[in-house]
Amino acid sequence: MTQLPPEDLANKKIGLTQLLARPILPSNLANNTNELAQERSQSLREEDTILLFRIGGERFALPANSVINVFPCTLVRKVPHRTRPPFRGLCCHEGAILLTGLLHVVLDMDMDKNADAKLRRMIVIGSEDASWAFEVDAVDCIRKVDPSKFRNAPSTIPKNSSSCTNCIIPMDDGDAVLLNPIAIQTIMEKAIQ
Amino acid sequence: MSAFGGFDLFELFRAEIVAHGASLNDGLLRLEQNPADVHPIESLMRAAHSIKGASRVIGLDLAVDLAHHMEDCLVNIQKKVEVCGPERVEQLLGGTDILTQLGTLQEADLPTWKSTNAVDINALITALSAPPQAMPASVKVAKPVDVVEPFVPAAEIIQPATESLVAPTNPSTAALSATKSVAGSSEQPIQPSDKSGNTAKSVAAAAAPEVRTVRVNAENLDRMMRLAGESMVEGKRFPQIRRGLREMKSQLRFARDSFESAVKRRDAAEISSSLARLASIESSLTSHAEFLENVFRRTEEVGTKLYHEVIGSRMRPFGDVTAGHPRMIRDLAKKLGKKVRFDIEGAHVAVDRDVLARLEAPLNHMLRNAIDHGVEGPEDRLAAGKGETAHLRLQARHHAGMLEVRIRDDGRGIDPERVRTKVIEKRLQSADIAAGLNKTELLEFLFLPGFSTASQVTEVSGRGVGLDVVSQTVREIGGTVRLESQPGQGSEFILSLPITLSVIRAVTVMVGGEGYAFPLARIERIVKVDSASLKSMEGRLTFELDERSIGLLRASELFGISQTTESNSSSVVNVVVLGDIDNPCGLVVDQFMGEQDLVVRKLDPRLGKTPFVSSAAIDDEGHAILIMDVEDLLIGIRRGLSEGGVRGLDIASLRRNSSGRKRVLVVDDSITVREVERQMLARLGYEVETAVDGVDGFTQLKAGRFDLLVTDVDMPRMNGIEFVKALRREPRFATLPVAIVSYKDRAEDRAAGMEAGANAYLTKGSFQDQSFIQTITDLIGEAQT
Repeated sequence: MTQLPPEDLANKKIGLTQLLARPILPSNLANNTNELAQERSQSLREEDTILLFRIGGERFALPANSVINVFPCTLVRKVPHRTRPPFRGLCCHEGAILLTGLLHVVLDMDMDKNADAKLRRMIVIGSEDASWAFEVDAVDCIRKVDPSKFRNAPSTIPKNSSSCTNCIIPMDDGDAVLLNPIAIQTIMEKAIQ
Repeated sequence: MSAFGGFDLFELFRAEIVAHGASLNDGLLRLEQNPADVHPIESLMRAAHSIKGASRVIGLDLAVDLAHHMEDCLVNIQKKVEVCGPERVEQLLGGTDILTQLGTLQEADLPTWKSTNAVDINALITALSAPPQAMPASVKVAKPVDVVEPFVPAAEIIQPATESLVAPTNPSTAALSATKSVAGSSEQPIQPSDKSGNTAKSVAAAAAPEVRTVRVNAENLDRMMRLAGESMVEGKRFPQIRRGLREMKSQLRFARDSFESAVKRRDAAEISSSLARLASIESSLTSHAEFLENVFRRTEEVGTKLYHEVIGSRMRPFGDVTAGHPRMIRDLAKKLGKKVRFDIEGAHVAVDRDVLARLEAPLNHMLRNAIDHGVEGPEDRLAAGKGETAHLRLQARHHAGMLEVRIRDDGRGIDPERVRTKVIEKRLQSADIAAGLNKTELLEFLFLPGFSTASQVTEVSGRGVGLDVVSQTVREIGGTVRLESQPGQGSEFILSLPITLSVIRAVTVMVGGEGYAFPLARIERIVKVDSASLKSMEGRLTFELDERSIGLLRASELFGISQTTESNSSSVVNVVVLGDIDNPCGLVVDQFMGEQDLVVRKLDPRLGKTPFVSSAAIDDEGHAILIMDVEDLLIGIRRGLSEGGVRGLDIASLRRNSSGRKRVLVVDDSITVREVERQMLARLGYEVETAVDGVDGFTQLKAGRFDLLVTDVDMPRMNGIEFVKALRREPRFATLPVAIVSYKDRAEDRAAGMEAGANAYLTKGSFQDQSFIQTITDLIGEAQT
């Protein structure tokens, strides 16, 4: 290691002291804080996994951890005097009797009449005690996504209790609308109150 | 978090206390009846010992000390060091009552229990340690809540009747609310109030268990586990079958290719070889099919057994609900100075735990009333030529697929003439009609609410108090109750109840394409009625059944759903007859599907109270099906008819398609316009139905078959333009001719109507000329098809 002359060492020390004592700009502080706070390699968490499905030719997503079950479509029984959409009726799966809603009505869309009936699925969201099932045209896949790339929903989408759109997920094979499962359940439950 | 290492431990402790508390009560009563019989002592000692051990684990030193002294006392009795006298039995029962309180407490209430009972427990321990004669006067002996105050006139008992129905029969639970019933008594309650007077209330409130636990017979659980294991093993055989089938598929493809190739090449040897391979595959396929059939059969068998075991796990012996009754009877009889022998038969009879839970209060009430009012005192009995000890019997048995419970006493019985007098006094029937009522009919009045309120006749009013609530509870669980009585000889209540609420036998029907189930026990009849035999009475359809005239209503209308077109065109009407003999109603359904056993499931509580639906189930095809609430249905039918909310079935709606005439639906919110259009069309020979707005019109269109729609534009709820647009979105109405008739006659109004999908747009001025008639005829032709 090269030994510096004593005067150079003193100059360096002065320089370093000045460097450390310099005023820090707020912008620098914010940048550095962000740099430290953010994980270097964005690891995908359980909540960043989504279930992709289709209704009426559009692509939607739900956080996978909000989905309890996906199963082939089954008969839905209407309930007397409980016919206000988006409530649909009761269906049965694996011995459980599930409240069933119409997600396409919540989304103000039509189901795809030309969709392959074999691909239609029921998705169950919520918890074991308070779940909702609804029919979709098809379930595409479960996929991990990077939340940092999510885009805000267009400003025309209201941010109120009647909306269940969370944000847009850009994907190579086409965007999907990420839905808020809590909002969906809230809207469906209003129909039976 | 439990201070004892977890909630489960305290739950077990409570369960143990309840079980051993019942044993102590039972054994002590037997000992009291026959002090010389030392056989019950062994089990009593075991129970006290077990409670001592369990209390030690929980760290309840007070309970340990009390149970220990009770055990010592029992040892002395067993060793004949002392004779078990009435005082000793009282002390031991008092100790039992204090200990059994623990079975209903929450863990958080233990400090309160200790502070509240410490003095009494110590006094009781002193008394148990001393010879029986030396029992200190200050000892406070618990008494259960079911002990009523000295006999009071019937009219005074009436008010608390409902309350008493919900009072717990279990001495342990009874003790929790003992402060109320013994207030005013010279004895102090075992559970006194604290300075704020809130203890009893808070402990009672805390007694409600937060987590529902269910005890399942260990053997039953073992069988379920075995079957579940077997089911899993059977399931694992399917992959083997799948592998075999896949293998055969590839072999088959290979054999086919070889065969085709051999045929092309005309290679006889190869053809022969291919045919041999095919034969081998066929043989393999046959053995696979046999194997598959075996697996299927076995799977089905295991599934069925498992199902029955699971259902069976809900069953409990009838004795579970009667555990507190001997003590209650004993205490009550003693209090009233009566001598009663109480027998229970059929304690082993298996009953659904939910039925047992609902049965507890009515049984308690009927037994108490039997002692209080039915059974005479010793002198009266001797004077009547009977033995001084009355006999009260509680009997349970399975009979004709139902649980039959009989409560019989040999007391004074009920005088039907006194009931008849009451019926007339209370103006429930005129004197003429009352005079013609037979005994059975008269006794039915005792189940009416408040029947005995104004009565001062003890035996009558005593029997009437709260019997309406008994009757209602029994009805709610799908059962019936009747009373038989002979003056001077006694009375008998006969309850017929479903053995289980978990599984019901139901008749399934279709209404508007939806399946519904009616509990078989609640249906009086199901009949197919020829529409030609229907009669019209005040605009409603009726039919004759067993010389009774039964009104008809459409189920689809009650349920608010569409009825299928097929049912409208049928010449036979499918009717489910509901209600009692005096007031039956006929509900018209589309189709009878058959009978099946349904496992009852509660409806999701988020649905709230759903009109006419009691619960849900899964039908034989694995679909959800709704089970109808017949009581609610009858109320709905009667209310609907009286308020006009529900229309009775009219002849036109049933016979509309048999006439061969074209049918027109007229929709207009103005009754005048509706009537004008109806008359004009009817004069031309059309069959006409009317509706008051778009929503009503849409419902009627869906429910029936129509050849033409005539609608107004301006209407509430759904206007004519919206109505026609909605109609055109439905494929079945895409081609239905529609004529709009409106006051609006501007060009843009006409354009809006036609764009919506109308075939013609007329103004109401068209009534004056022939244009309305002409348009209708142009659209659908003459009235007769």
